Amino acid sequence: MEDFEPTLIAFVCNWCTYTAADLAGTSRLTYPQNVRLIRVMCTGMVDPQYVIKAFLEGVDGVLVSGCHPGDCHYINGNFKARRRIKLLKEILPRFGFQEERLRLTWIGASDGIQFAETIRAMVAQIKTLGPSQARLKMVI
Amino acid sequence: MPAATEEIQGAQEEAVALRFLTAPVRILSENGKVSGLECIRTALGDADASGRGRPVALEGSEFVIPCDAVIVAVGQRTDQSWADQVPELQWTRQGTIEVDPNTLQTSLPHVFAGGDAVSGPASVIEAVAAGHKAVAAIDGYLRQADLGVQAAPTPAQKLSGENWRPLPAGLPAEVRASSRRLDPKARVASWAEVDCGLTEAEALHEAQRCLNCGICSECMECVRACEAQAIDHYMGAQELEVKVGSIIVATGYDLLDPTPMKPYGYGLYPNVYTSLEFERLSNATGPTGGQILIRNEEGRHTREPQSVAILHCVGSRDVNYHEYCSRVCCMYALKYAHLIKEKVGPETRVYDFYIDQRCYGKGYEEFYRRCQEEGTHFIRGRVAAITDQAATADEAGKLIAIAEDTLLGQRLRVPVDMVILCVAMEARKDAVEVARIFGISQGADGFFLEEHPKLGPLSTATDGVFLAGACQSPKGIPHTVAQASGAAAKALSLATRGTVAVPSAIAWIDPDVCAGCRTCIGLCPYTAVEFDERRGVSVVNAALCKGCGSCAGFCPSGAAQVRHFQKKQIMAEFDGIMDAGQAVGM
Ligand code: FES
Repeated sequence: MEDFEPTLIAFVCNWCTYTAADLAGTSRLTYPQNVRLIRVMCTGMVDPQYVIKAFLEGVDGVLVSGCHPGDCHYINGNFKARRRIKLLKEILPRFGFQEERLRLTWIGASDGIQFAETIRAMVAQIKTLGPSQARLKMVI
Repeated sequence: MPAATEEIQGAQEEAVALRFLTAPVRILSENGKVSGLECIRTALGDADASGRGRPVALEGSEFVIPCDAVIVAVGQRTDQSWADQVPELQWTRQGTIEVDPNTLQTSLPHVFAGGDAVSGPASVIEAVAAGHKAVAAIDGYLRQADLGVQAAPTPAQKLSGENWRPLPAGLPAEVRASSRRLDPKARVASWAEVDCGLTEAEALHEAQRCLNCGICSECMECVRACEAQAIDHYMGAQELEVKVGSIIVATGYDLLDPTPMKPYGYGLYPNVYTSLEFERLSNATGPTGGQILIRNEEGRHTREPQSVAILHCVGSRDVNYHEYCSRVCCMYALKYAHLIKEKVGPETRVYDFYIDQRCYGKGYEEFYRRCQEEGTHFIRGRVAAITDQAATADEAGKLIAIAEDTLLGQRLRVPVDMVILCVAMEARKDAVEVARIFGISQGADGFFLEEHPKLGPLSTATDGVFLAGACQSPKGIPHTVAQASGAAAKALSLATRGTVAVPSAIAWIDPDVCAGCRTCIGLCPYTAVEFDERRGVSVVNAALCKGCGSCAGFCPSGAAQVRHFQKKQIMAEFDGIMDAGQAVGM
């Protein structure tokens, strides 16, 4: 378990968190390479199916991150996302995934540092949780 | 005696003897010349209607004032010589025309009266006012209005007692200046003007007592004085609706207010200026006509400074205020050093306290060299405080800049006459609202965020909204002009095309899959989804859709999809990621 390197998928909105990730890059900030970003136009377009599919395929953690409340480029897409993530967090344990594996954050376009920190914190947290159920099954 | 106090005083100073309760009886003469005035003493009797006691002669109290001239001060009364031609007109006992006090209507309904004939001797102003009142009443009379209602006196306006600016605390009370009067001895012997008025200096000082508490009283003098006719009192706020295809936001910046930075003593010492204030001072149209002068305690400009300290980075490159560099300060600080040397004289000592000299532009480094050659003292180090507490004799009466020369590792106390603070440029206070209005975002420093720091420095996250100037980041004039020209060109390129392409990444609802549940209609923030009753499906209006995917994220049947972000595309992307991960053993 020592050398467990979790796989993280992050659904990030184009206008805030994706830009923040870009900024983290141009600012030469380092953060764990365990995360893979999937750019969406807005967190409001993240279909719960994407999240469930990711977990079922063996991902250890999923981050959904968009603009701060009130800053969504599409007025209120982030609020719609918040509702869906809340529901997902209730469903996930029934599939055998701890709800901590799913996170929703708001990271503004200028928060490059916060982006790097969020990823670092999340990777650390998933490491303590260990590999996800689905992955263990696949190994077996 | 109904005379003004100063008149009575003046007469007494000139040794005029006032005899009260004395009535003239007759003028005595000798050889056809006046020799005296016989008077009789009186006592005050019962009060009359006006409350004044009527004088009653005291029998046997006659006495004579010897004199050779008598001046009779005659009174005035109304000319009534024509009265018997209008017998219906009624007169008062004082010999004035009787009128209704509200309408000025006389006993003849079609005749109105005003002026001295009604009030007795009074001023022109009162006569004019009566004229106005009478005209209004005549107007009402001709239109057969009820005069009783019309002319009821308007109740005196009650002043709120609040309609002035708050007065600054701690103002010393100063007495009103009074004009000098000619010496009584001199004035009895000549016709020279007794009231000498104020001297120019006194008048200026008196004018400065004005606390400027009033808001504009609309006397319109400024309108007359402005030759460019730039003042319009009637201009009000207007709301305009302008149809445009693109917008360039160039709302500029605010200057950091150094008042809260107590160690610099701004607002406390009269000779601590901000950069913009110094700019104004040295401007030819400024308060001193372009002369660089220091101020005394009262704030009046007195003499040229012998030494000046210029402080860079006040509020910039400072974690307590703004971390960023304001970019323009180094160069204008050099300009100030040069201006002072040029205007006040090369012997003026100019101390320039800097962290780093950032002279990055065309010809800038050369200018820095030139200022060094002119003898400006460049000291690398931040000033810790400005104080007026002198420690030695040559610091007396000066401002002392306390700093450390970080190149020499030495603490310094530099006495100067004037201090200029190069204050930071910061995002405008209303930038948050402006950003909301235009749908653009702000960076951590509050300035508006461009679309991309390298590839999209003019455009913003909102199509058709461009940025120019210091609203995007602190910058000088050449960079602002360059950016603004670029933004204008961007806007023009949209305008000349005349049409905009609808973005491809918008939503689309597959009519074959859509079950017509209409969930998406309630979710769409742009009301871009409509329901097609005939086919029983929801349809996206491509011109309104912005492609947020609110509909796609929720659609239970999966009919709503955003082009380029379709479910199968995202899934494929995800699969690709997982495969790649597996390939490297993750
Ligand atoms: S655009 Fe970022 S969350 Fe909607």
